Amino acid sequence: MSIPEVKAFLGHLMTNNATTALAAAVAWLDPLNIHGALVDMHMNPMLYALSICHDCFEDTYPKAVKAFVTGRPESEIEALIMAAIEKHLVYFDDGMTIEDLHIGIPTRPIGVDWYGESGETFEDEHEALVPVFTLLGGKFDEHGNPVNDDHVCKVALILSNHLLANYSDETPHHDVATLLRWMFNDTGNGLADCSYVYIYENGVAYFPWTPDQIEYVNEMQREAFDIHNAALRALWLLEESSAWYAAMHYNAEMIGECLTHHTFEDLLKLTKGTKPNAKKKANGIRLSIYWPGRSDGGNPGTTQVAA
Amino acid sequence: MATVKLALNDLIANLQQVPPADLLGVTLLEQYEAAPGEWVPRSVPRDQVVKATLQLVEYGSKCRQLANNIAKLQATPIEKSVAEYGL
Repeated sequence: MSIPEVKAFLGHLMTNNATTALAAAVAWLDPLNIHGALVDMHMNPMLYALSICHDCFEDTYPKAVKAFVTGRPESEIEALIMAAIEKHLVYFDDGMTIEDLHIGIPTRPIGVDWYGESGETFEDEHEALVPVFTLLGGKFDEHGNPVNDDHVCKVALILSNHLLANYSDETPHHDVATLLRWMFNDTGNGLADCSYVYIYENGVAYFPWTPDQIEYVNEMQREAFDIHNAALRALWLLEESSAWYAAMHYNAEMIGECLTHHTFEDLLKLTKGTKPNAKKKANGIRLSIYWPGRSDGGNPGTTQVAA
Repeated sequence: MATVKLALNDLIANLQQVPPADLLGVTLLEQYEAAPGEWVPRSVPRDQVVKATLQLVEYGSKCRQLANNIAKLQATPIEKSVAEYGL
């Protein structure tokens, strides 16, 4: 009996027994059912990629397995798997290969780097934020790094608190509040608050490949992009609208002055109950925060800011 | 009242009585023979392979879930004479 004949004979025997028939079907159609949990992601990236498909992308898994067991080129299987990953993620790194999958679900941190972790100065790294930082009373040293960011952060948080307490979503005020929060890593979204260098050098964001984690990361990444888009709209607003620029300048100066006499915590509490464009006096503190009206988004010249 | 005992061996014997699941993957293996020198049949239509794989993945997931549930099964002393009650 030749080897092919032996194989055919064994194959026939296997299908005659329920247990071996099932084992043969699994080995043929779902080999990662057995190997999935045992795959060493560093030793065999292809099997690891297939195990991710098995657990997370059931629409691609059959095609990838068929290509794998029928000996298709690895490049073809890799293209299939990476296309599936791209299709299911809010953020996908085009340069990613199956060799990189062990780092977990890819994310795009977009937080502001205040600590110069990238090696660049703040002025170089975040050029667009420099005018806002200066507007809020910020100063830079001779190397282009902020010197009083702690003070400016307090001013920004007090102002954003006031905006969030008084204006709803979908207003330019909300965008400006988001910009102020995002600038100072205080949005509450990990990807919007941490810089790329911080996350990857400190290894603080490893998201394993599971359907739940994919959903979680997608939601967080989507929100981070929304935050970033709102911040960009606010940057544009501050640049284009003299009303907004003047309001921010006035409010930042006034809060900066208040911070020399009162604590940050007291001012923060007070902003929550202060209506916009109205004066409020409590605990010996006099606050008058002014913002342009809702229709002033990007329309210079309709300022309500007090002199 | 009669005492009914269900030992581990009885449980295994009962589970072995469960008829094999009707799986498309097994049916395809019976229907399509592998070509000489091959372990798996290559002539199965793609849509059938996809359908069989998805079914097998779901079946495997259910089996793992069942195995986990059985592993966590607590012994429950019963005094009823109906053996099925314990199951």
